Amino acid sequence: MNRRSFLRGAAGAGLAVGAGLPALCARLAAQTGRPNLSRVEARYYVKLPDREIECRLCPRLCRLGDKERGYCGVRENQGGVYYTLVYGKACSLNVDPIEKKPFFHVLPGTTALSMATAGCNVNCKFCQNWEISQVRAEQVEHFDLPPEAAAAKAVSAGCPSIAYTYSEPTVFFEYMYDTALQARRRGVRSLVVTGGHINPEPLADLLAVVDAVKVDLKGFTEGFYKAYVRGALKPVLEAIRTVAKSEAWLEIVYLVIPTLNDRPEDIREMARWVGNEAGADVPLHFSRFHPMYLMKNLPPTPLSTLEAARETALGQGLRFVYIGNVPGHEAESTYCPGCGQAVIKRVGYSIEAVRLKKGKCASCGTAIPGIWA
Amino acid sequence: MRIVRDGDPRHLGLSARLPAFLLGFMAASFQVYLLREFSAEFTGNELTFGFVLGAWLLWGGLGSLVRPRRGAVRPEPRLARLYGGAVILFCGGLVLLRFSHKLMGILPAEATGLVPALGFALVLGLFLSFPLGHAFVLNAGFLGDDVGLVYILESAGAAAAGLIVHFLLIPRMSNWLGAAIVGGGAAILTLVALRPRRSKAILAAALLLSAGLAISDRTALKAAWKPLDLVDAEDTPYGKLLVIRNAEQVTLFDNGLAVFSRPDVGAAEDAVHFAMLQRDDVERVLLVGGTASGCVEEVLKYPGVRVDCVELDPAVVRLARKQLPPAALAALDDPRVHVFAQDGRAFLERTAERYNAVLLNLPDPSTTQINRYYTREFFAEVRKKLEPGGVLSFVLTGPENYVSGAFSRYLASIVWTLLDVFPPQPVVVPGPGVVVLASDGPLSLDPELLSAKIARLGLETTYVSPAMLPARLDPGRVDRLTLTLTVAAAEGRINRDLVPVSYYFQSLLWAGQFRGIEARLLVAAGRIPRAWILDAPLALIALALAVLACRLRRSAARFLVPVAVMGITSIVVEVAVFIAFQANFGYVYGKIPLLLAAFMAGLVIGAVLGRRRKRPGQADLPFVQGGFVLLLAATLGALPGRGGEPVPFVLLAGFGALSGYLFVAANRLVLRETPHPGLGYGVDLIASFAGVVVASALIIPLFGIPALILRLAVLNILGLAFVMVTSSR
Repeated sequence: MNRRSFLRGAAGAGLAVGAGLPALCARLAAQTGRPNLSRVEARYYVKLPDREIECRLCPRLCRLGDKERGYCGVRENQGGVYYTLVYGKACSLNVDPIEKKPFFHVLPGTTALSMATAGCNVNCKFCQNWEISQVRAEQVEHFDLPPEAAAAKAVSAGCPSIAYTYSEPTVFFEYMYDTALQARRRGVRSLVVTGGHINPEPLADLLAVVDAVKVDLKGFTEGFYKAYVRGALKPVLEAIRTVAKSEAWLEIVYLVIPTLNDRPEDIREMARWVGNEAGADVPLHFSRFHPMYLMKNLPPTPLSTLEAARETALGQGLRFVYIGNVPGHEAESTYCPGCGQAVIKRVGYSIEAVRLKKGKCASCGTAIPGIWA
Repeated sequence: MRIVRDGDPRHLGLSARLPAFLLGFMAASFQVYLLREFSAEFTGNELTFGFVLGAWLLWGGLGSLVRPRRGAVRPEPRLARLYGGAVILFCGGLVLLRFSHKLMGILPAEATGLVPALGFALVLGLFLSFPLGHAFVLNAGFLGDDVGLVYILESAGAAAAGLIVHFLLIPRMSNWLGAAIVGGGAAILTLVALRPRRSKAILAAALLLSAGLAISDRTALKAAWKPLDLVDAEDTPYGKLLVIRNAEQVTLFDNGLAVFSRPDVGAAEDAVHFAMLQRDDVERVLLVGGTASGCVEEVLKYPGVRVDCVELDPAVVRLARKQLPPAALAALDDPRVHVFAQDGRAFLERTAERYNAVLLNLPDPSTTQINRYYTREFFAEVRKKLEPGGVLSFVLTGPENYVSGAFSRYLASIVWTLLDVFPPQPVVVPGPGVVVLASDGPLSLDPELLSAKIARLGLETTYVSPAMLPARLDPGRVDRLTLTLTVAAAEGRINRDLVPVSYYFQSLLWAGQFRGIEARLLVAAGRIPRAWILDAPLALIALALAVLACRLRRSAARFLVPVAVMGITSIVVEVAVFIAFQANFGYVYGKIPLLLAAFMAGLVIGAVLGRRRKRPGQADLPFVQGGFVLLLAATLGALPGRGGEPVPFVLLAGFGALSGYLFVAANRLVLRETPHPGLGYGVDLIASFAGVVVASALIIPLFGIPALILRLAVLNILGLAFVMVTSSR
């Protein structure tokens, strides 16, 4: 054997391995057994020629050929028909305090049956639930939980509400919508915890069947959304406006991430916008960031930053501004904007006292907006 | 090609040998500093280490396969340019690493996967190791094609680098300052040894850049970490410590991993209270890690306790004291607290104390070094040092709202290992930090019980508190986690020092964060049947050797086969012995470089002996190859630590000696027919690349070290058979 033939042989072997390795790995790495997925026709899409479709659920407007999957990873074009792969298929189901969502002006002290499927239409680098959001449907173990079963489960667990949360409920819209209908029939409220990347039409339809929406406003610049969320700010702001104008209750969470979205001027702008566009009564939560996912090595938010943000927002006229993820902080409690008394005293997820009478401050009678019963 | 002979009036013997010695010195020291900086930038686990080292070996091997241009008369100018260029590229490589995150357009604190790390490793290897590999060939020409002499000198240089860098430079100065001294020194010595006429500009540039490194370390660090405010940094023997300040929040990073962030009591409370609340009479507590994280303050909230804190790197506490307000660390000066700066496992094994609680505040088992704290051997040691009813506690990073199959298997591997030592089922507390508790006594996760105790003791806590416990310990969450553990534990793999299964599962979790190929590769690797990875390749190699034995029966190229086998064996044995040594005797800075020095010393001795043989030792090869087989058998026996600390040193010296002798002997035989001085060296390095990548990425995580050594022995038996068959012709 001479050097040339050796090199030829080695190169050939290398190419063969290189060509075959990804396919072999994908095959070996694929879940053993058939994944538990659904095949229910999706809503909010249009059919195009050549078996293409365009999804109209979220601002991504995915245009997909046959067998292609939407950006969210849980919706697929099969022969020109668009299907949701996670209808009736939950991967996470827990009974959580409603304050954990957080909803501070909705049924305080109660529990919410919290459910999710896989998938998400953005890619936050600090996602708390990346194991189910940043994956495709088949990469997660789902179990069957049809809408009527989910609603029944909420009743049997003593939960007056169901929260569609953890991942991004927009991507399991049909499942969420039908579950909300079932829940309403049983007197169970529906709460949506969303990043707000949803188009106006499905959002309007959704607001007719749910009771409260909490929007995660992740930053207040397009640059932040592009760099750290792979999304856009504008549609989120539109969604907030839409919810604020509807009958559904709105709360907003702003996760304060050190050096990324904590500039005082951005927070001031954001608070001003919320006050002008959504209303001064919309609760705004400044949540403390803890290292997570790809940002595991970014420091937690200093408490002083959160307190300054709260002061800024109160200074912009917002009446209910909270600090989250800091158990025991006084800014977890709800204060009457009239007399300043604590109408709901919270420590962590626990309610220590409620001084409301029919939705009004027990001391001075000022109406405290929210869903109290 | 100009031939330098001893006694040539134009060159002193020493300066003629210096370039080859310098080559080894540069290659080894560059590798050390690049690896240290690499670990800090890419949060090294053994996968990344293996690929970095592998990339270095691969490019070095390819470089040595490049033949010098025909007709080139004087190698000195090329060597001088090459060495100067290597120093320049080394400085550039360090800067490239420092700003790697910025180059990728991501935050300094953002996690990166295997693919970017591999990309940087390949680029650095190409620009640094490739030319240095080629320098081996040029040095051979410089020394009259005496490859054996070059090998000896290069190995001696590498050994010297190991000792000087690890014992003189690293303990005393930052990586960049040490690198500057090495680079500048190499440039000066090149000038002295080669006296180039035309390459002075390159060497001057190398000197300047080295000086620039020396003075710009802190500035570059601050720039690289923007927008975070870096206020302090220290390169210790154990890693790179960085302190970031944001308002009142102070965070310490160790090789890119956050050690603590204060004030933030969540992690400290998790590490302490779930364990301490289990018993009423906790008096003696051992805290491993977390000395500066606030854990001590939490422990001291309990009346009557005394705490022994063990922290591997004393610089962690020193930097914490420097950057935090005095009140934050006042607890460390409490007379009830004793702080020990040593390896936590070694401390536990040597102490005569017994404890009511052993609290681990350590990272997840992302390296075999940290994996030692989650193995059966360690848990057994903990059990010996716990009083009856004593509690062991540690925290693992986990998902809060969904227990994936990958996490289940990871957690189950650790819980299953615990079960082997602590028979009652360990309990696990769900949460973003999954708290694992083990004891031979009862354990409770009743939130009312724990809350009542908190109230009775008057403990002021924030996260492990009556307000938060009911949600944290929701029965549904606890039961679901326990159920998934029970199902996953049916796979029943026990995590051991030498079979680090939890490290493999943790690697899967780590890789799953990135949307690249790394997770699929690792999962795929775990599903390949054992025989395919361990035994089928050996069968293929046997077949290939049989074919080669027929086709190369008269060719001197057949002597490259034992060189390749030696290349794989030597690097893999080094890695295996390092891991086993740390598992058996603790992680002590300085011992690993000494082990390496033992190997290199053996290498030099073996090569010298081989070179002294007047005639190429074809007949010696079977004996040397057989020696490898015997040493591997001895290594297998010594892996659990039999014979004490000296044994690994003796073994590695023996492997080094055999490797050196074999290389020189086989290479001489090859050179009889193929006058390419770099061929044998190239084959050695490329084989080492294959060995280190397969061993560190596949075999060690999946099957452990004993299985690896056994297969190495079989490989060497195949090599022995090949040598015997072909030598008889």
